Amino acid sequence: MPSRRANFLEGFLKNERTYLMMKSEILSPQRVLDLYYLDTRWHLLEIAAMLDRADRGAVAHQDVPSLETDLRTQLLREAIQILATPSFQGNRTERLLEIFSRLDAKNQQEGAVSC
Amino acid sequence: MLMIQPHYHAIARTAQDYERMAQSGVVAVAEPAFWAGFDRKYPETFIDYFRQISEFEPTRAAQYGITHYCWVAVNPKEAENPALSRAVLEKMPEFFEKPTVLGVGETGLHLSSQNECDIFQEQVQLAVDYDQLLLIHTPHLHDKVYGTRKILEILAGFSRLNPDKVWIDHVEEHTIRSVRDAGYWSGFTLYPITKCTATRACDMLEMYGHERMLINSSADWGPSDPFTLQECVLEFRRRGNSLQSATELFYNNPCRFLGQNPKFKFRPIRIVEEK
Repeated sequence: MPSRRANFLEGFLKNERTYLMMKSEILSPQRVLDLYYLDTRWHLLEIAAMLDRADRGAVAHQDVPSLETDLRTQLLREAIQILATPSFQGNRTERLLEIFSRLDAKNQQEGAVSC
Repeated sequence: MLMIQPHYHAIARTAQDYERMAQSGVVAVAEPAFWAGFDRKYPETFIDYFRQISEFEPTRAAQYGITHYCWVAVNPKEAENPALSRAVLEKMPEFFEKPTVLGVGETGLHLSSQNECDIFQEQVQLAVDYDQLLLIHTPHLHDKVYGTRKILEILAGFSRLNPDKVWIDHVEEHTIRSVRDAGYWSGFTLYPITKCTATRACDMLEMYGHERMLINSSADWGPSDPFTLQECVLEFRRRGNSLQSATELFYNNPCRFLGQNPKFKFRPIRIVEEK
């Protein structure tokens, strides 16, 4: 029968090992920029292109209602404002998910399906 | 690198998935019972579905050297029909006896209606009574925060429920904290567009650590991709994490959680360099 001390040591070592293995490496800000700059640039260009496309659509189809009253336009604007804020204490993603939840709730009422 | 797909709906996928997964190091998949895209009318339809995932799918996966496990449950969408759900629940203990059934899943909430809550509660009770693992689906889009909170409230009412045996799935940045604070396992589900992505999953791993984390790809009948799992391995490794750390997350953690059911035969591994 192992002694209480042996049990304690075994538990401690196991936890210590677990602790050492249970942390991610954190990239430096410079490395983050190096790795993700092009991806992020691409995503921003896609956003710009989509907004331009909608503008062209508004010129070509002046008889249809403006997007200004569409909830999605408002949510996108709110989200873009958050992205444009230099310091956001690292929870921009969480804030955006909360913003988009408002539209998700509307979609659900209208019967959108997912798995 | 060896990997386990902890949440994989094989019934909606082709054999080519199995082949490509095997080629990329996947050795086991676990298939929760889920919504078929339409509401089933008869309890017998569920029973045949459970037979398919507990009897037939293991043979299909075995052709590619992959071990297939499954879960049985009434999913939250169909819980809106309590009579049908209860008829299925009555039959579930027979499936707990099958050699590859790991527990009750995926149960949980979708719209968090009263019927959904009642049937979810009954399935938690079933898991407790039969000492089964529990896999819980959280709402994908609609009021995910509310649905997750409601699930946690319901679980808190079960004094005999062991949090070690509970996996709350589809967490995102706005729900992960509450799940971890309550001591349950958290699951990320990686989709090409909606829900979580490989990069965001790695961000959350940086913020919350690796303990009690499960990472699953998306593999169902909707726009999904089982190889988002491998994408996540790549993202994790390119941030400078070691092969052992990746093995901890993508192989050992599923072994630790699923291995609480003795039917799950895989065990955590350690990579040691030959001297």
